[in-house]
Amino acid sequence: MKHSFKFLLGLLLTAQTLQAQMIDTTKVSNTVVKNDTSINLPSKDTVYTIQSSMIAVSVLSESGSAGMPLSITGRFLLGGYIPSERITQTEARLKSQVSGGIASTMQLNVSDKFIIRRHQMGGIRFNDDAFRLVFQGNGAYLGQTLDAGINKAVQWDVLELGLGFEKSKKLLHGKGRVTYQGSINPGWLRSYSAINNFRAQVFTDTLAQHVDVLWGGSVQRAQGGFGLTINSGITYDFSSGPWKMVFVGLENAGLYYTNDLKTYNRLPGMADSTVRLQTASTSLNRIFRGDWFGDRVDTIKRQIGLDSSRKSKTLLAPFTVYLAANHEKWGFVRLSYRNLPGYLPRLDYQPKIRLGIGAVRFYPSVSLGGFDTWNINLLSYWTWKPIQRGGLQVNMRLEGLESLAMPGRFNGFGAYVSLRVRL
Amino acid sequence: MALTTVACSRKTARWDNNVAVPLFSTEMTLNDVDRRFLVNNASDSGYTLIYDNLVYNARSLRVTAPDTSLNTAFTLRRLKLSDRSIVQRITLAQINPTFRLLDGQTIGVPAQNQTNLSPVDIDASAFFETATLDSGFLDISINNELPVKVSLLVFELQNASDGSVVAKDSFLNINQGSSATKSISLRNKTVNKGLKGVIRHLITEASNGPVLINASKGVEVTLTVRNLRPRDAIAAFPNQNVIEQDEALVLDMGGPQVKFFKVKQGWLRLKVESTIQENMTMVLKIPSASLNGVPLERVVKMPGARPGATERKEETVDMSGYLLDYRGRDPNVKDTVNTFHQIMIVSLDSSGRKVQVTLNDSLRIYYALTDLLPEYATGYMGQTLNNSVGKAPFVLFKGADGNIVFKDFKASVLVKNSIGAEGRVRVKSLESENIFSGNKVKLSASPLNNDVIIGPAPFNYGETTDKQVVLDGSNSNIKAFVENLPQFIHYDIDIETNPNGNVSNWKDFVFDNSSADIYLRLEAPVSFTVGGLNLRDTQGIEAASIPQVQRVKTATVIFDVENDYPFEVDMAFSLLDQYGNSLGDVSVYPGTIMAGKTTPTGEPLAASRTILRANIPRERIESLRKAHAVAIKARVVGNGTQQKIYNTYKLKVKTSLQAEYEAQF
Repeated sequence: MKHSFKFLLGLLLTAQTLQAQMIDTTKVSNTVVKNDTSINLPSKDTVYTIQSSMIAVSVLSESGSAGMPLSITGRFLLGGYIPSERITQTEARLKSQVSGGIASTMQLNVSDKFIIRRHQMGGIRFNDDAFRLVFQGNGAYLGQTLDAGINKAVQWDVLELGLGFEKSKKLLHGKGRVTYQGSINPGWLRSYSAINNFRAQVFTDTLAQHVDVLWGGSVQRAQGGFGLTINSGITYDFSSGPWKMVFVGLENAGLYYTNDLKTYNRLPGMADSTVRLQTASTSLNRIFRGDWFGDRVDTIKRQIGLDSSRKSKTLLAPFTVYLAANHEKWGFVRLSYRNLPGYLPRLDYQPKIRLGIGAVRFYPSVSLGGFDTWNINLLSYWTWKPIQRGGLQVNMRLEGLESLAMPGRFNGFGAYVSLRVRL
Repeated sequence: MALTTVACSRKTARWDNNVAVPLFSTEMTLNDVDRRFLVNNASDSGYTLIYDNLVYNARSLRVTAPDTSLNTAFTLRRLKLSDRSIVQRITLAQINPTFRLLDGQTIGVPAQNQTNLSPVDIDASAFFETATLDSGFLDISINNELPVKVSLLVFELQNASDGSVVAKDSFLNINQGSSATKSISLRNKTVNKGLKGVIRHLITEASNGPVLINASKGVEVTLTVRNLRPRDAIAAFPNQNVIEQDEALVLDMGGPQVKFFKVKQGWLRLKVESTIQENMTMVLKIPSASLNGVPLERVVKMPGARPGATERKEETVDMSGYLLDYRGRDPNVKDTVNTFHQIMIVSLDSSGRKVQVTLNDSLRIYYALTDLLPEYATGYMGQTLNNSVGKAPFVLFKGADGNIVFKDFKASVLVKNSIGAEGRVRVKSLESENIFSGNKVKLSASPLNNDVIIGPAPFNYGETTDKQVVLDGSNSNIKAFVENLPQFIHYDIDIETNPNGNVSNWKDFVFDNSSADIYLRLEAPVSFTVGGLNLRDTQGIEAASIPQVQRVKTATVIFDVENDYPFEVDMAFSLLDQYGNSLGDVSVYPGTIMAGKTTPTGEPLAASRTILRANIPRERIESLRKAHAVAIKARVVGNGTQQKIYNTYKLKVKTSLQAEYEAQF
């Protein structure tokens, strides 16, 4: 009984893992460093001109959710204990559908030609009863039916080697400059998981003498595979007029292939069959003979009707598309979308406001959508140039300042740190 | 590598959730009595032990509905196509090009006699693409628009593709402005959408003086198809029912004549496979099966199959709670038994697409009412006579070989009937066997020389009609029989149902647990030592199987106890390791179970229910982790007066665990 419960709980918690392991590159777009600087910075004068002798290390971690506050999602990013009262407060504010995602990217650029990058990313859409089952447990809902559902959840963990390129062309008559940037990224699929239309209807009677579970849906998992993605972008730098720059970009567009995709679902014909976990009696001689528990678990496994299969499959990588523009007066605006469950089209706006303390510059911005609902963000720069050509630049961006201020109330948090050394 | 290492170092998120899982259940009866405390001291007896040992259990009247199934591949019995008409004109210019030059002039037209005029293309795509017809008619209607009378017109219709003749007929004497119609059977003919109309022979009379020549007018041919039943066609089929069944199936119930059958458990399984390229709908109605008065009806929609492929649909319906009426199609007209009414209609749903459907297309339908178990069934259960010879364990003296001697006991043969039918029991032989001594004692009892007639049970679940035959020293050798301390009782018994036939007028019934049970009842005074009457049991819990049991912060074991005993019962629990060694007692609150209620004769009437809770604090979680079993001790607390204790008394214990568990991710 406990094994089967663990199994069901595990399925639901797997979904949570997907969320917990999510990574965001959405706010990075930095698989090629120039994309990053072009997209995320408010104006052209902040663009860091990359030199062939440059080495850059960047790390981004981010969580976001439409429904769960930072005090919960942040724990899946940074670890730590989630107090029960925080879960209770969140439950009181839950909408019927909850979505979210967590992402992290670590990247090493060598002169922008060679890039080693690890993406972990995922997104999930689930309902309020799934939250209750995972965070409160069935014991908190005795005598009630929990209809937990995960519409869609996807998790990726890939390691990529990027080979970057760039071509810049000055337009005739001094009309501006067009720059093509991109990289080709052979990649290794470390793990992939997906949950589709998973449903677990769980009823526990008031004394927990039986637990009825009706479940369906499919879970897919793969470990190992390879693929090829591309990043590409076109930047048009205007030489005159109020518009300074327009950028169109595509990131992580490609396919991954795995020959070991395991799919778990319910045996055909058992879709309407409820599994009942209930008290049962065992004779004394069987108890100490040691085989009774395994037999009971086997019986429950048969009732659960888990069917599994293996096959090869080509998977569409979770690509991101960007459209960004920089206006002389109005500032910087970016529209982006990542192909992950729970991710809504995201709009970033950064006004022409720049604050400075010594060598440090600050750029505030706001964003709507993404994994989150809305965020107040702050970008900061510090540059140190001890010699004529060499130097160090530290770039840090904090997203979701409102959540940092009120983690129990607001959603989403992200931090992006890059360290760039020019020799 | 460094990236991987850093990425894997994410710390886990932790939170507490409340897990509730069922553990075990058990029933403690006198079979679980701790015999260390059972002594023979009749003079100081506080209890009268009433021990009912089941000798024979007759479940021969168990009614099960046979699986009602259909597994057949239907081919379509009939197809129909829409009645439609097309009109084609063969102009005067086409009949004789000379008239093209005279168009608009008024002249006298001489008599004409022409053969094998040029064919005229006729587009019949409004009918179908192609069809081979089992039956149907083509009406050819010739309307004479010529300015002269047609004496003879021989019209032939050909398939343009191969020139095969579809229809040919002659029309005589069609006056100017008149028409004539001929019907032609299309049976066994293949007709394509591309047709050619040929006037094989045309004879017209001369005009009565000059007439106006209109070259665009001529002979208007109207082709009408009707009542088409194709064997094979590529066409846009209209909506139609292709299978209609309305049947009353007579089932073999193995003897009983059943009127109603309430389903406790069972399934309707439906599987439909279709090669038909048009959308289909299967409606299965079972008027004989209803839930809350609503007859069972399932509608299965099948999309059109791709050419050469098979479309499949499966459904499973839980039949629990359905009432099956076996009285036939219309009980008001003919009230019968064991008869099941079902209706199946398969219809072709026109999509408007032109698809190929043939009478050879198959529709495989499998449906079955399977694994039906009754909550109850009513009707006439039949007259059955069963003789049974065998042996039954006698548990009271199991393991005893002479140390226990009951004094002043009473014995009886007790027949309990929970079947809703009259019964007759004849105990032909009873023999007690002590397997340790090898002794066998055959019961000689004059009251058992006669039949025991027992009436039907009341129509209430679990209720019985009882008949008791008392045995004593004056009418039997029961004392020697019992004092043989048998472990087995050998029997030879006849049981007959409805010995007087259908006296209930189809009002017999059986529940799922109905049976005729024969007990040997012993009533004996017994007493217990200071420890009282103690019942013991052990049940497995395998707490070690809880994943990461150290994450359990606190736990509460809940014991739900139902007590039949008319005494309070003190409960105690302790955890045992895998070798059966005690890991310590578990304190429960409250520790005492309330007494149950009994009938005036002391038989169980209503159990009391008490919920006990045992809180296991964090410091004792380790012992829970090591636990493989729970030892249960129940001490029946007497009230100092003589009490009857039936071995049918039960102490039911259901146990569950609620734990605060630290989840991690």
